[in-house]
Amino acid sequence: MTEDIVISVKNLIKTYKLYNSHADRVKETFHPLRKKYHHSFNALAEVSLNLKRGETVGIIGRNGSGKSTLLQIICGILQPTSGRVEIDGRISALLELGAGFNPEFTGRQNVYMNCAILGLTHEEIKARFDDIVAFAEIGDFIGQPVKTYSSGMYVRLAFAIAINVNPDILVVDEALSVGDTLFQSKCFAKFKEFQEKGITILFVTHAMDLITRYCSSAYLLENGKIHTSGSPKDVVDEYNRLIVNCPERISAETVRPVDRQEEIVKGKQWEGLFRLNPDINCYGNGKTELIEAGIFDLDGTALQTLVHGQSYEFWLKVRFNDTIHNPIIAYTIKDVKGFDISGTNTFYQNINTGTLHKDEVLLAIFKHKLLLNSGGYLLSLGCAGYENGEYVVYERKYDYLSFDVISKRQSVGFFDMGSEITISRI
Amino acid sequence: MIKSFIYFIKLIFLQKHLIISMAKRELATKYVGSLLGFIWTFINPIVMIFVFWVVFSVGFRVQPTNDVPFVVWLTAGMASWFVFSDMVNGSANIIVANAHLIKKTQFHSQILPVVIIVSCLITHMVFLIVLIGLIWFQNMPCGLYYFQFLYYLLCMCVLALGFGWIVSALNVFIRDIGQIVGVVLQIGFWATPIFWDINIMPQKIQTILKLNPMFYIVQGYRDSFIYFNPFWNHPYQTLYFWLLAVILFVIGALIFKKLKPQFADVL
Repeated sequence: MTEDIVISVKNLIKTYKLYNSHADRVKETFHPLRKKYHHSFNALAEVSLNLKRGETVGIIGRNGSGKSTLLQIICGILQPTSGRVEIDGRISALLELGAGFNPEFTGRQNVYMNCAILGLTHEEIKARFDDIVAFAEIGDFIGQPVKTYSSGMYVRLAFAIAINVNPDILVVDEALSVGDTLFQSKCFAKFKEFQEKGITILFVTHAMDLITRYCSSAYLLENGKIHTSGSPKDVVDEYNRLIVNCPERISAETVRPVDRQEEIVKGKQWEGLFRLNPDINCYGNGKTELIEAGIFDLDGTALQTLVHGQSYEFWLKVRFNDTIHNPIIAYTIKDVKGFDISGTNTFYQNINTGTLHKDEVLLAIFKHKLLLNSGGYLLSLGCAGYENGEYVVYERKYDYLSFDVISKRQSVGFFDMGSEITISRI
Repeated sequence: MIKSFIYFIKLIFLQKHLIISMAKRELATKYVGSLLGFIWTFINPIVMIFVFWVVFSVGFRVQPTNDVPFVVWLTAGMASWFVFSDMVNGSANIIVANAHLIKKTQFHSQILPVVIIVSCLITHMVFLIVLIGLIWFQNMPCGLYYFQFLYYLLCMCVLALGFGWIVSALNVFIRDIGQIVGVVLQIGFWATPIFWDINIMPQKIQTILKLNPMFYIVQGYRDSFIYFNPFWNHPYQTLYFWLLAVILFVIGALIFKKLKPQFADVL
C-alpha cells in the first residue's frame, strides 16, 4: 500500500450463500466433507477501489446495487468472500442512525456507551462530551431518555458522536438525509474541516447534489460492480441515464414499436400494442365507456417510450351508452409519485363535442410536442360533462398506461422550457 | 491459528472498560423506569429466602441436615446454581439481542457473553450478602473460609463462559437453542443435589451424579459457607472439573470464533 492510500479494496467479492434454513448453514460450517447446502448470490463482484488520504468520495447506485454491503465490508462488519481490504487508520462508521443507542437510556448514558463501543476510554469521552452535546444542539434533552427524542435530535446526536471520536476515516451511509437543512449544512461544514485535516470521507447517498457539491470523486455501483467512476459530475450523469433505462421499466430496446395500420373501428383493436397498467383505478356512472386509448407518433406507430421534443398523439375512443350533450374528453399526465404534471380537455380548449347518442363512438386525438423531461409518467383519461349545471363524471381511468420519456437535453424538473441561451460580453 | 486464538481471548481484557459499562447497562435495563431500581436486586432474594425459611423451617419443620438448618443448606447450594443458570440462559440470546451492534458497528461480539457473566456477578454478590445475613441470623459460625467461594466462583465463570460462547453462537443460527437451554437448565436444577442430599443415593449413582460439573460448584459453595472444607480435600473432583471446564472453554471459543464472521450475514 502506498503511503497516500488509506482504503485499498482489491477484487472484492461478496457472495451471499442463500440457505433454505439456518440449520443448513450450521451443517455446512461443520460438515467434515464440506458438502454444499446453499445456492449463491453475488452482492459484490470484483469491486476494486482506492481512496487517498483526505479525499471525499461518494458512492451512488440504485437500491440493491451493493453500496451498503461495500461499506459494511470496508468497516469490517461483514467478511468478504474473497478479495482484499486494507485500511490505514481508525474508521468511524455511521451506518445506521444511533445503531448503538438504547432508547430507554438518557442521551448522556448513550453517548458514553456509544463512544466506548467506538473504542474511547472513559477519560477521552469525558473530554469530548461537551463538544458532542454542543454539536448535537440538544441542550437539556441530554438528560432525557433518547426515546423522547425527535428523529432530528437522534441523528444529530449520533452524528455528533461519530465525528467527535477523531476518526482517520469517516464512513456515512445515507444518514444525513434525516437532519434538517441547517444541520446538514453544519455537517458539511464539518466535512470541509475534515477534508482540510486530511481525513478521508466515504459516503453513500441518493442526493445527487451532495455528490457534485462535496465529493472529489464518485463511484457508481450497479449489480455489485463498479459501473462508472471518476469526476462526480460524470458519475451523476451516468446514474441519471441508468435509472431512466433501468431494466424493470420500459426501455427503448425492449418495446418494439408497432404500426397502427388498420382502419379505426368502433371496437377494441389496439390490444397488445400497449402494456397497460394492471393497477388501473376506474370509476364513473357508466354512461360512457372508454374503449381503449394509446400513444402514437405521427406515422401511426404505437409507442410507450417517447423522445423528448418529438410530436405524439394520444388517441382515445369513447362509446356512449346514453344521450349526452357536449361531453368533455380529458387526459392528465402524472409522475410516478402521483403528482399532476399536465393535462387538458375539450372544455378548456373550447371544443364543442356536440350531442352523442347511444352506441355512438367518439375518437379524440390530442396532438402535442412532448416537452417533458426524462423519467417515467402515467397517463390518465376521462370523460365528464355538465348535466343541469352540475358536473358529472361519466368515466375516469386513472393511470391507464405508463410511458417513459428519454431526453438528450438536460434540464431541471419535469418540464423543459426549451430555453435558448445567448451570452454576450457588454 | 494459535495466535489468533490468543488474540480472541486477549480482546476480552483489552475491552474490560466496555465490558463493565455494558454490564452495568445490562443490569440497569432490567430496572430502568422502575421507582425502586437497583433495590429490586435485594428484594428478590430476600423474599425468596424468607419464603423458603417459612416453608421449610417454620411450616414443614424439615430436620436440619448435619446440624445445619435446611434453609441455609438449601440457599448456599441454590445461590451457585441460580447465577450459573442466569449466565448460560442470558448468553443464549445475547447475540441476537444485540444484532444492531453487530450489524451496524465495529464490534467484538465475543465480549457479549462476558458482559452477561459480569452483570450476573453483581446480582450474585447481592444474593450472597443476603445468604451471609441468613447464616448470622441462624447464629452459625463464620470464618475466613467464606472467601473460598471466590475460587468456586472463578471455576463456575470459566465453565459458564465456555457454555455461553457455545449457546450464544449457535442460537444465532438455530433459534431453538435458546429454548433447549431453558429446558436443560430446568432438568439440571433437579439433577444437581441442590434440594436434596447426594448421600441419600446409592454409592453407584452418586459416582454418576458427581460427573455433573455443577455438583462440584454446589458442593464447593456449601464447603465454603457451612462446612469450612478446603477444595484440596477433593483432589480428583478438582482435577476432573478443571479438565472438563478447560475443554469446554476452548471448544466454546473455537465454535464462537468460527461462527462469528457469519453473524452479520444472518442477523
